[in-house]
Amino acid sequence: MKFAAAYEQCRDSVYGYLTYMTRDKTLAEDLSQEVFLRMFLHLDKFRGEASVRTWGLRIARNVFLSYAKKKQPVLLEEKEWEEVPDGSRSQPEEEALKKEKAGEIHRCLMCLSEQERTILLLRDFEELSYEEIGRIMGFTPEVVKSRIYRARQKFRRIYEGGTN
Amino acid sequence: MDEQRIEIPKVVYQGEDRKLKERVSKFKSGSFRIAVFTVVGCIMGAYSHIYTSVGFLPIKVILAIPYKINEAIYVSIIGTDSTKQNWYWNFTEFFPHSIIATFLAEVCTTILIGGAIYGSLAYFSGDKRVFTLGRYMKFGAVWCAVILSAVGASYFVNAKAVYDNENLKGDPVFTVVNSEGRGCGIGGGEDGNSVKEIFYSELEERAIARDFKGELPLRIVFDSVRYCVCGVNYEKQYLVTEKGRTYHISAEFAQIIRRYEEEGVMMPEGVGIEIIK
Repeated sequence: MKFAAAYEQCRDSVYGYLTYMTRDKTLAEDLSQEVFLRMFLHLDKFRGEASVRTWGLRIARNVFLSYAKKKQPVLLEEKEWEEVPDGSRSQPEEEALKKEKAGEIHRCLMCLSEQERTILLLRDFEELSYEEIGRIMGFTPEVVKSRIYRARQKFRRIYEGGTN
Repeated sequence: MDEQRIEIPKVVYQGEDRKLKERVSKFKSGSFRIAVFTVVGCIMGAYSHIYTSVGFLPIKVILAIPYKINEAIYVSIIGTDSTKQNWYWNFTEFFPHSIIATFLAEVCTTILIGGAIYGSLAYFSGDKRVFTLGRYMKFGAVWCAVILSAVGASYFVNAKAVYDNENLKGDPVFTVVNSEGRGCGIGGGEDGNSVKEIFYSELEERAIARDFKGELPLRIVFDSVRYCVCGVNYEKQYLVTEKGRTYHISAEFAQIIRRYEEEGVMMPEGVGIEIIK
């Protein structure tokens, strides 16, 4: 497998995952650079047991965790729900609604624990299978299934509570 | 189980790919620079021993660094036989008993140290986000392992040389060293071979009471790469190694040594092939 091909397959997944995990596009870009460097350095060790995207996301999670533990432990914590001022009123209505919804989803995700956020993102954003998620997080598929269930319920509780 | 997915909006990277691959390209260019510096460092290490003859101070210092570190490792930190011996020949500065061990120590290890030092300089001048301290630990550990292997190999070769010398193994060239530090050696050609045959003919390790006053220093070079200085007492017909092992020698060989002392010529006559100063 060549790096260019691996990069093409993982670019948006890795960047998207890190954007949701950090809620900071510049930081997500910076961490993505580190993920791709690690992929480049360890490409020879990739044996194709899982898809490249699964492998890339596992590295992305490790990079995020080590960054968060060292530099911003707050990223690993569950945040309290907070209303944000609506700054999208001047935009067209449909676009403004989209942005507002995206912002709310983002804020809800930040109210979950790192593990819940990751598991939801891997399933509902990256659309990975239970097996693939299990490989990334070190769980069995059954554990993944039940954790996704709990994470979704918690997300909905926060989302509905926040938007009502 | 709740199987209804949550609609999470897609995020697509809209910046330039070059930006996301920045660290990869920095790593590639940095690695190339490290490789170049390492090669240059190895070359400097190879010529490091000539630092004493270089007059221009900055080059002298650059060249001297690998040699001095090498010297510190072998002579000051671990120590070699060179501190216990007061005789030296070419290429035996570090290990007086073995040219190969000295070559490994003085040339090979210095080359590796030069490569490690200048490779590390290139490493630290690279992008800090890519060439991190954590990654340097691995880089440095590999270099340490390689250098320590070379150091270990030097000591192993030297220990083997000393062991073989004590057992008088190999193809010897003899030189009786006189009181002025000069001597006449014999080893090559048919005459040399006959002396070797005479030497090994009755050679046998025995417990012999030593007579220190009657011992003449006999330098033996084995296989052109191993040196030792033994003592020979031709009256009591024994040879004693550096570590004190005594061997019985044939009367014929004792006669050769005796004739050297009395006439200054080794037998067979006129075959002196090496003059040492």
